[in-house]
Order: sequence, then structure tokens, then C-alpha cells
Amino acid sequence: MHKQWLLILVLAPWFSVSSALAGDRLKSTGGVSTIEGAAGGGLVPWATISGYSSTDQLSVQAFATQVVVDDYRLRVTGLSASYNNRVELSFAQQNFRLDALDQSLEQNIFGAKVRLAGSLLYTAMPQISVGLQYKVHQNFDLPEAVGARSDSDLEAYLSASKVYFDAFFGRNLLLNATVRATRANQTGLLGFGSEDANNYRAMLEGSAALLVTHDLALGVEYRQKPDQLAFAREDDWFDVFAAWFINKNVSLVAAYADLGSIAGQDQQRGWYLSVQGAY
Amino acid sequence: MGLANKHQSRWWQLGLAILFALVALTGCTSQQNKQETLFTQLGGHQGIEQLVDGLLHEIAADDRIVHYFRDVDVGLFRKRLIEHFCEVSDGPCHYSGATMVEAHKNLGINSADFNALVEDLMQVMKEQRISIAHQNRLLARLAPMYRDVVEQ
Repeated sequence: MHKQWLLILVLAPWFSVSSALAGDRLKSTGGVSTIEGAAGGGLVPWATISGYSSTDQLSVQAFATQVVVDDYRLRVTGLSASYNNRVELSFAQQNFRLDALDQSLEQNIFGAKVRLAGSLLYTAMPQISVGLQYKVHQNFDLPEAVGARSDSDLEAYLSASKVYFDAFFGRNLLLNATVRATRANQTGLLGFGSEDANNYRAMLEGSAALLVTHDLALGVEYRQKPDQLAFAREDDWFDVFAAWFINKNVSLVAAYADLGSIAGQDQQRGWYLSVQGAY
Repeated sequence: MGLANKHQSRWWQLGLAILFALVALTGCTSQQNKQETLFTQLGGHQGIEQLVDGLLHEIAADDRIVHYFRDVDVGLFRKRLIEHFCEVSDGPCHYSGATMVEAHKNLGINSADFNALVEDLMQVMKEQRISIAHQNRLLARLAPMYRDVVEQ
């Protein structure tokens, strides 16, 4: 068993029996952890700040995510800390396995996010946050061989998120829009830039989630991606997800993701599973 | 970008169809809701009194915010809160208390306090088996008060 799952097995019971609160914000308002470590949905970062830290409170989170599609498997573990519902720092370690090559690629992502304005729940203006992600590839041979220019890069994104109460059959609806400046190939798993492309491009990402109950959100996500490497096409990503906020300490996400074509293998679809603990 | 390929344009069409359906249905439900006031849905005067009493008990047990109510005349506060919830939910009442800004001035109420109160209210609504839709309708009307209650 992979060490990250052992870690989760050790942590999960502790989180679930712990009566300690992760902060005074309302359940589900921290979102979940994206594959890049920032709070959001699964693939798209939101303007939400991770965990439940409210005024002068600190909150820490740990998560593990696995995405298994036809020819690849992505495992992510990460941590984040938030303060005052204002600032979020995150770290994520990605391990991307290519079945055909019997090889794994690894990427580390350091993230920071600041809430600039608005409130997810309480103001007419959406909550607006800006984030940075510094991505560092750990074994660059393969991305370099297929034409990637760089093994590390900085990305920036701006997100607006808002919960609309009583929006649909009496249920609350979360909408999120994110614009990201990126040069990443397959989010950085295949490095950054290419021989012909070295400019940042603005990519649009979006999420919609319906809070069916106060514990359960059902939603969809879309993430636009550049297509810079000549050797293979890159597609935009989609997923449909269910997030279950068991309590403020533990949440689970199951999703079905369509990652399109990756490194020449078309129609990469499969399951996304994630568990997160917050304290 | 993969938008050009067939496989993904289907996703787009599906997404757009769902979006239109959402908007259309949201319109329909808000039409239906107009027939009955939230006041009625919450059980009229009796339902709102029960809700307020439940909330007062919850606040009394909540160490995070109970100190704000130490010098409050509970009887009067209860009366005003019932009036307020009644008026906010389109009931036949007139709230006769101070404005939200006046009532919370200089108390130093922060986001964490406001969240704690909302959490208490949600807990009571859950305990009193108020439907999620009615809970959310009430929350929708109370949420904008954040601006007047919390010190910016």
C-alpha cells in the first residue's frame, strides 16, 4: 500500500472522533482540496479559503486523492493551512503513473491564496480571491523528451465564488469562475511551455455545485487547458462530482472525470476519489 | 484546445442544456413559492415562536457568543426577534425594534460570531425538522444582514 493511504488511515479515525472544530465557518464553505492543493472543487480552485477558519482562527487540512483513468493514475497528497478566512497556504505532491511506460512522473506544488473581497455567503458581491501556484517537476526527462521547455513554473489565478441561497428547488447553488495564467502542459505533469510556446495563456475554469442537503453537494466542473506540445493533443477537463461533508473534520469526494487525450492516449476517463481531514 | 473535437463538443451541448434547464426550473420554483409566504411555510406565529425559543436556548448554550447577550432583556429580545423573523418571512407583523445597524453598533461582532449564530439557527431548524428548502429561504433573507451586523 502506498504510504499516503497509510497516512490517511492513521489520520482519518483521529479526525472523525475528534470533537475539535476546524473553525467557525459553516460546514462545506471551505470546499474541498483540488488536485493542486488549493481549496476548491476537484480540478478547479475556488475563491474559498481552505478549512473553516473564521476571524482570527487557524485551520489546517490534509488530503489524499486518487484519479484512475484508462491508461494513467494520479495520486495526490497534500496539506494546507488557512488563517482568518483570508489567507491559504498549500502544498501538494502529485504522482502520475503512466501504465504503458511503467513509469511515474512527480510534481510538487506550492500554493498561496488570498481573499481580496466579498463573502461566499453573505454579500451580493461574490467572494474574490487571487492565488499563486509554484509547480516543480521532479523527474523531467520524459517531459523534456516530448518537447517541454521548462521543469518548473509559476501560475496565477483569479477566482470568484458565490453561494446563491434557495436558488433551485429550495437548494443552495455554488457557482465559481476562475481564470488562470498558465504555461503548463497537462497541468504541469508534462512540464511547462514548448519549443514554440513560452507565453502565458489565460484559461477559463468553472464549477457549479448544488447543495442537495447541508452535507451533500453535487456538481460539475470544467477546466480549459492549453495545447502546446506538438507530439500529442491536450484536451480540456471535465468532471461530475459528489462531495459529502460528513462533519467539519472529514469530507469525501467521488467524481467521474473526463481528462480527454493525454500523451497520445485518447478518451481518458475514470474515477476520482478524495478524502480530506480538517482541524 | 480540445473544443474542436467532437467528443468534447457533446459535453458542451449537454452542459448548456443543463444550464438552460436549471434557469428555467429556477424560474418555475420561484413562481410556485410566491403562492405561499415563508411565514406560512415556517408554521405561522406558532412556528416562528418555536423557532425563536429554540434559537435562544441554542445561544444560551453557545460559549462563543452567549456573552453578547449578558445584559440583554431576554423577554424583550424574544419579542423583537419573533417580530423580526415574522416580518422578514412576509408575515403579518411589524418589527418595532432598532435597525440592525443600530442594534449591533459598537458590539464588535465579527465574522466568527455571525457564523456561530447562523450555525445555531441552522441547528435549531434541523432539530425542528424544518425542510431544507424553507431553511434556505429564511437564510437567504437573513444573510444580507451580515453587512449591518458585522463590524467591517
